[in-house]
Amino acid sequence: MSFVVKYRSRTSGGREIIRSKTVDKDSLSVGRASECDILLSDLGVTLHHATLTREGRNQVRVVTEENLPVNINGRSTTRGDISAQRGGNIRIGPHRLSVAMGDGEDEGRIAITVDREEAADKVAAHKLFNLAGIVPGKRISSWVFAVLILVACLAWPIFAYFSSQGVEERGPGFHADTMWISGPMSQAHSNLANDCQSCHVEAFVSVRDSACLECHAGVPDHAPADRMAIAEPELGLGRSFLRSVAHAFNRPDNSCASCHIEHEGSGPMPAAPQRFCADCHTGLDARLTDTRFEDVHDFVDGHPEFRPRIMLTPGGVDGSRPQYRRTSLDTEDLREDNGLKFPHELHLSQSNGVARMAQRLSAQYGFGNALDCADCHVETPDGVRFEPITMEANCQMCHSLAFDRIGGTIRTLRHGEPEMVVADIRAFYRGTAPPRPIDLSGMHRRRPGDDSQARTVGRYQFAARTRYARADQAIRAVFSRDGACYDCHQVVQPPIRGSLNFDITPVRQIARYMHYGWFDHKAHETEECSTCHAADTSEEASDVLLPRIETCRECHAGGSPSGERIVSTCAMCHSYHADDAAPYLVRARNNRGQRPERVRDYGGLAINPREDR
Amino acid sequence: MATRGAEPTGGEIDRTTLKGGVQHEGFLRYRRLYWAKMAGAISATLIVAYLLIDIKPRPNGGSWFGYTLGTAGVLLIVWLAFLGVRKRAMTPGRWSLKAWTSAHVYLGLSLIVIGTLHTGFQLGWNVHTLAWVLMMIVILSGLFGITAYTTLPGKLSTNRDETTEAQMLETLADINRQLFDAAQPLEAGSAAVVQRAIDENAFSGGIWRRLSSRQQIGGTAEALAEFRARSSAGDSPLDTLYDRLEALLSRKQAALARVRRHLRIKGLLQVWLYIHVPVTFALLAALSAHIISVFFYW
Repeated sequence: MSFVVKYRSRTSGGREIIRSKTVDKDSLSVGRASECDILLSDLGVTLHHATLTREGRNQVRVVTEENLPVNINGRSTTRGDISAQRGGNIRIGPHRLSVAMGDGEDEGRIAITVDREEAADKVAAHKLFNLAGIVPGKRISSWVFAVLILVACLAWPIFAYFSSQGVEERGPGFHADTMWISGPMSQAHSNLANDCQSCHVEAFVSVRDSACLECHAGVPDHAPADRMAIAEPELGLGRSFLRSVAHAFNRPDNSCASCHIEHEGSGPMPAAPQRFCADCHTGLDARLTDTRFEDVHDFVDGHPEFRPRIMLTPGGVDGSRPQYRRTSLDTEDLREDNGLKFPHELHLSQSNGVARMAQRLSAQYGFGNALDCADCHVETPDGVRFEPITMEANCQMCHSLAFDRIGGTIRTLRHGEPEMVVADIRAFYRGTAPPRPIDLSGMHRRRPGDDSQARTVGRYQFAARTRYARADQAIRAVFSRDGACYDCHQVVQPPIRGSLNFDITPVRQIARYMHYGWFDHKAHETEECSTCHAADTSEEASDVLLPRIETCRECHAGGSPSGERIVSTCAMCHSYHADDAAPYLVRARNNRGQRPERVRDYGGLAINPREDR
Repeated sequence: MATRGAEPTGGEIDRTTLKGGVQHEGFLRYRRLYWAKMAGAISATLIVAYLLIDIKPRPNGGSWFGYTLGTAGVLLIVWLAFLGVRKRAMTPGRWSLKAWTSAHVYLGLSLIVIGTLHTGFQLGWNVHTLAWVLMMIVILSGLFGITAYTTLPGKLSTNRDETTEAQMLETLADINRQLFDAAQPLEAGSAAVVQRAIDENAFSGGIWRRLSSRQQIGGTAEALAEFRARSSAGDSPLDTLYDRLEALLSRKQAALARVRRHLRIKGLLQVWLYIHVPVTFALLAALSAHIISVFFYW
């Protein structure tokens, strides 16, 4: 029951030197003190560090002093057992105590081999345990990433810019500067997506109007530039600051791109915000004192009553031009004159003779139990407005101009040509004899004697001779009250008394009342005509049947949402570039084929720019 | 530790500053989450502003609000990147590195809000979105980093069990040496099995192997199974040797497992920085490209 302790060291040449000593004890003290059985001369070891006790044939128990854990078989502990059969080691400071069964002359003893070795290089160990060895270093990958990105995303696009300078139109294929695109091009400009330089002409210079005008030549100006400059309001603190920043960066005011903002989605380019209009048109008359326009800033609470262009006279037979005037709908006793006499109320009645006639002709013309608007008013192909009314298409089925029948053919007066009407009536009276009196034919009963026959002959000959003169009377009748023309038209009396040169004031129909605004009937087809037009109570053609702005406001809100009403910015009805086309919003919506089923469906459409995303 | 063990000798340590309940205040809890509150307030304010300010036709980085957010964002990014410089100089107090790090973490997180609102949620295949994506990678890797720093050191310490890395290496080397010595009497085939066990170390393999928590079957496990089978058969004259080898191999197996766990945890603690830092520089490059391109094609 004893130990053999072997101190092992190496010469500088690597040769092993073993000094061994046999200790016949059951327990060994380990420490730096000279009386210890196993002497470990190292300052990392305390005087009495641990005790090894032999337990049975081949077990060694290690107990250390309190709070001085040692490493037993790789585990740091203050207490442990080691089987000498299996072997094990204890590490105390830089010393390793290997436990094994003795062999040879030490058979039966437990051999403790003490090695002193320098601790493994901590720095090397630290490196081994770090990730640094197996992943690329931070510094090198930072450089690689940064350089790759600068080359691919900066140098290459700049090269693309300079290499295609002066090129009329870029070829297909990839151009590196397209990776700078800040958002999809709008529908109309999508063909330019590969050709940045078509708009971004000069480097570090914001898009100029000249680039736009290269294609969009002939776009009408909103107003003369000097007047627009006067109309512009004083900017507030915030916006004048923003403007000064823009100026500092050489960005022009009021350019095309100020309103038409590109790279904001692949649909139609969004309409300009209402603010762009309202800026100048709020309090416009204070700055631009001679303007014809009234102040406006929002449809709901800052828009004047509509001022349609109304016809004052339709022009005369002498070729004088019709006269129009923009007149507000809230003018007292507003009247227009288009040359026609037409009571809408009479024609739309459900119960009068017109309705009766409509019923009679319904099989032929598709009328219902009475006339309705669409029986006469036919929309234009685009649905925006209505075709003009014509005698032939819309009136003649009831208002017949027939005056004679020859065989099965009905002769009618020529509509629109009064002199032809006069000639036709004259011809009628000249070319036909009066009906032959009954007593001039031979086969009938008569009073005795020739006297009565002779008188009849005399009268008939007189009538036949003078029949031609009765045409004058008929012509006068046609052009006078209860005559065929007079009912619907304003008759111009002959310039010379007794002459028959009657004439008719020309009828002119207004195709478009609102020349500064746009109204699309198609967009309103969910509504009845009578919702806006009070035609069924209008007794005179001179009534202006346009709805007032209040009617529109029942469904249309202003620039900000209000209940179920439709958000309606300026661009819904007005065009900035005053051309004859529909305003921007209407065009954009129509292009997308969005048409509402019901009024409330408008809420989700593009006309609400906040939701158009 | 130092203060706990020190005796109150002289005025070297002012005891009055060490009140009861004084505990370590890390950069995450610095000044009772001062910077967390600050960053939260900034983010909330910006979100409310974004919702209230109606940019026509749709929110975008080129509006006045967009430029404001973008400028704030780029200044913040540059400042955040300066932590790399700042951390090399430790200073105490209000301007301590701890304060700076705390601000770095929380203001960095608020950059998610600033940067994303700057995009106006318009993302695409372009250099601008590249910058945003890189920014998000940096922020998310940083988020992973602070999560790792909060949760993993405890596990690392438990696994280490007060041994140092050098000791772990030595343990492995010890076992290898003993295996080598013990295996001398074996014939060639068995010796090769032991040699494979000796050759196995925990450091081979790439980054994925190191971060993976999957059990790895190597030479040690195979040799252990081999000698365990032989020693349990129990009819060989080499039985004691097999027993000894089995014991050594299972010790090596345990030591390897500990080293691998150590490596894995340490790797997780470190790996995020290998993304965070290089992608930060990639982000700075992409930001330069973003800003220059915007003004180049203005």
